[in-house]
Amino acid sequence: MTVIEPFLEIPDSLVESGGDGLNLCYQCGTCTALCPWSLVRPFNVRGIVRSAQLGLDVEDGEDLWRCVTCGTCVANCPREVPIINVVRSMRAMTASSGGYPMTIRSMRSSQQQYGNPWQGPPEARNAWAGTPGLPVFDGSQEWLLYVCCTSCYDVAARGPAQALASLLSAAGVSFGLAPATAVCCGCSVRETGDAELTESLGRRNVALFRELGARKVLASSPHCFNAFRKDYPAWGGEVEAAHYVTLLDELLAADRLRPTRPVRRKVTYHDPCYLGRHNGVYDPPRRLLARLPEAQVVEMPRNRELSLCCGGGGGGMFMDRPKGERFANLRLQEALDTGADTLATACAYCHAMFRDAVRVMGVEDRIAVVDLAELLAEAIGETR
Amino acid sequence: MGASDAAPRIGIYVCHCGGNISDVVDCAAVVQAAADFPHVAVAREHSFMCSDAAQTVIIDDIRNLGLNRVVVASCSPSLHATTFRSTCERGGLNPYLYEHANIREQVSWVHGGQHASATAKAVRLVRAAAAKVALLTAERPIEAPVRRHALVVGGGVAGLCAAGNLAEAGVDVTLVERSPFLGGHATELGKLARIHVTGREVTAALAHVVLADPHVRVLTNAEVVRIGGHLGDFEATVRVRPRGIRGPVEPDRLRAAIDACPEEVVGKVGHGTRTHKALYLLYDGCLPAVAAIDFDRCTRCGRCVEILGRDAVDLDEPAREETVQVGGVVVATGFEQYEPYVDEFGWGKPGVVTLPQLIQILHETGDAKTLTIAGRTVRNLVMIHCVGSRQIDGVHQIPEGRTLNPQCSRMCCTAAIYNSTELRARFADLRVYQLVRDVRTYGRHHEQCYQRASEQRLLFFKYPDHEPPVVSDGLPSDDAPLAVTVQDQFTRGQTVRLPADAVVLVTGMAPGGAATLIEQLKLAVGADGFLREVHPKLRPVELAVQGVMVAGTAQSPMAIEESTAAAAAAAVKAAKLLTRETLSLDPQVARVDPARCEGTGRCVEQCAYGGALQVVERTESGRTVRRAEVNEALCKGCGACVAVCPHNAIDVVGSTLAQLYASVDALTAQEVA
Repeated sequence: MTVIEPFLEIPDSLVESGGDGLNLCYQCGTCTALCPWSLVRPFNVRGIVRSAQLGLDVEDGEDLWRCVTCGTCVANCPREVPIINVVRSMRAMTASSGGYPMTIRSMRSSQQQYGNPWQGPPEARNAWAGTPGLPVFDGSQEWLLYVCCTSCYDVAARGPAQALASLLSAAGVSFGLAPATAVCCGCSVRETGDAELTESLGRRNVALFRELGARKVLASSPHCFNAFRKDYPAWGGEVEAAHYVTLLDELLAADRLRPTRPVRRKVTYHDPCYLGRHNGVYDPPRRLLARLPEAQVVEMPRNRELSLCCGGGGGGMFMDRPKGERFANLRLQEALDTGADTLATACAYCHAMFRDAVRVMGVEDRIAVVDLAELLAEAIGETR
Repeated sequence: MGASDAAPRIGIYVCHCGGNISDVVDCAAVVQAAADFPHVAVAREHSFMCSDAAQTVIIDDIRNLGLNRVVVASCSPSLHATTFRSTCERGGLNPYLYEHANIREQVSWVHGGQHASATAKAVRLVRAAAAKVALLTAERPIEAPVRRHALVVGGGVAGLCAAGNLAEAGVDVTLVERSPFLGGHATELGKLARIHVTGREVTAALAHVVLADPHVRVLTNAEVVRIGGHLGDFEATVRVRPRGIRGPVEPDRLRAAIDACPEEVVGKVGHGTRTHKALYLLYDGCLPAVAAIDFDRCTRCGRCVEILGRDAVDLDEPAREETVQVGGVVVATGFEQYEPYVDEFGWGKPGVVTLPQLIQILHETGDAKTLTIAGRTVRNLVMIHCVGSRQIDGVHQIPEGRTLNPQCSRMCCTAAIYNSTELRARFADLRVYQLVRDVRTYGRHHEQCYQRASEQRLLFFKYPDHEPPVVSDGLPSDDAPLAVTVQDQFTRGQTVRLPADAVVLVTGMAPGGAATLIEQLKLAVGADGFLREVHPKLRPVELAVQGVMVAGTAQSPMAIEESTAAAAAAAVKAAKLLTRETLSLDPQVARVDPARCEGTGRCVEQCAYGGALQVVERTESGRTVRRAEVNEALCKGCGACVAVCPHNAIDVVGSTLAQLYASVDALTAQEVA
């Protein structure tokens, strides 16, 4: 029998680097029971936290990189242990000695070189808007529209950003795009543990926002929204951040958008983790769906606080998972089981993960993955 | 009240108990049979006889049909006989002209599915009750005087609280405390969880009230050596040991006298950590604020007399005994601190201390920046919970002559964790490891204490019930004198090894301290050694001996807030009895027929209740005769005397031999038709 001895310098250091609160865990195991990984393989969240408390190696070192930071554990923890923060600190510590997993490494080097995770040339950041394109924010507009790097550089999925821009125009919203010098919001490096790189990316955007005189930033992705709202203030980024769905919700309420054209779909909505559990935005997306003429809206059994992560968060977007371990496939099946022909979401990661799942599961003829902005644009029409 | 001499007119009432009875017993058949029993005027059934509606039926029948006897066939008499006696009384019938037949516990619940034979048995039980009730006589409760005075045994938080509450309710109190000072164990607890003030401050608040109240007589250094009697009239003999010091003396001179005293005494509290002189105050601010001499250790050298003078010191003060006559007793004798046995979790090794010792050490540490135990600066402190609590036969090797403590001591989780948070707050570099079986911080606000411990980064390890941690000497590489290994269920059951500078055994509460009262008052004791109440939920502070209450940890391990709550409850229960002019006692006790008694004393030999029966000499028609005499207040009506009387001279009221014979005849008679 092996005998272990705690090595408490490690938890001391984890506490220093953002893992404060790890000792609040009293090992009840609620986290392990609720973790989406438990649907596909043994995954001991409780054990990870225990390892952190005692400074021990995690039982399966790969587990540390599996966490998708979906927040299901944190939302349900009776002691409110900041489990994601602990995992992030542990990732940083592990990376500082053993390095990052291969795919994360390439994402990081892209961030360092290009300022985005997809090796996208900065000058092509706004290519999705076509030619002649849309006005860039210059301080004269009300909103700076910040489109997620994943939407900017995914040539196969320019629809959501384009639909959003057309809706804003249709509603007469004064906005300009983030210039090509904008960089990634930093979420993917933040969640994979590199606080330093996160801050350096963040400060570049903060400086840019300030230079441009941006006071209101509209994010196309919940991850960017989360970063602007929660991380940037510490670096002087005192902007009013919003996720686009809340703005669309306001525009609908103010009658500045009038959905009139029928949307003959049966739609089910997937709550993105960073919009729902991390930021508590559950109702605006549902109000938007309720305004679509003739659309039938159904809920999946796991919805709102209990939504099942697509698997894209926490660096999952950049990692390759065996087919049987992809949450997106499970979630897509849940959507199919409702009889819906449309799976709506409001996050670039979710959008990409589900499109992939549709291909892998071969259900292109049964269900479409669309963004809420695309659905609303369908109901508004191309022009006012 | 209805006359019992008139020809019996019996009402019989059969209860369905909402199906509890009627699902098995054919109640209609029982009623039909009962209607034909001798003297029965009416027989009825009802789904719930205890309901107001059904009781009203009985009352109406007594009035309208002229019933003078009532039988209810239902549940156990311990549940509802009193209910129906009072129903009779409300109908104008003497409540002792009532008989109960139990056809639930004795029939339906034990003969499920056997409808025919269960019904036949119910019929027989009702017939027996009807035969007996016909012979019952009207009785009146026995009136007895009550002394408006309570004896409170024990001067800890429970005793002090009970005494204060009794005095406030208008009852005189004699409080007897074994040690020379009031407050008990609570004075040794340091700061208390939740309120963050010391146990000494809490006990002082209680003691000041008691000491200032003219209705409370406080006897310290005193023990009850004999006690007997009954509700309303107990007599106790209290032995008061000499204190040696007559009253408060000027503090500087007292300090000089204590310094001059050559005898060091190792105090019992904290298993010997604390020492004091033979002349001592327990601590600054202790109550009563009069020093005491421990005459077991005093050599009568006279140095204190030289300093304090003969007016203040009496080295030849004798022990004395005094008699206290009271109406009731509150037992607040507390608990014994569990003392580990040799080698139990390393007990005996330097650096292994108990939680009370740690608290004492902390107290003595003052403002020091580091914690020192057994001469060593402590950086790693391991606390082992449940030492002496929740012991399991076969897992815990109990030495000869000691008993297993199966109970959870309840307060130690919070006490250990609270003190650990104090340690973490005071000594920044101190690591504290908690080895628990479960964390039972069950009390109000105790959970927050546990959460605060986690915030302060206390580390918890959970050891299996059957694999307690092992304390051994540290290895040279440990740089620590001790090491504890634990099978940690939080870490996949792996063996975790913790080098330690000190190990704290979180000891709990063991029963003890009430032996004299238990023996002489015949108090019931639970399997765990603590006093057993009449009913854990319905009568939680009353003991089976009428007029005797229990308060605090004599009953079970309790936190201070629970002890004071129990003490207040005990005081209310005692005051309820002792503030009456007279008591009504149950008349269903032994009664001697002087015409038959020849004073053999056989009954006295069999009597289980000391003093309930005695043989007295008296003069009858000019000659001296010996006759048994019943003390109605002490007799419980058990009937042991009836069985042995060679002359059938003694009977128990309400269950006379004649009544029982009639009952048995009815029970065993051949089935009619």
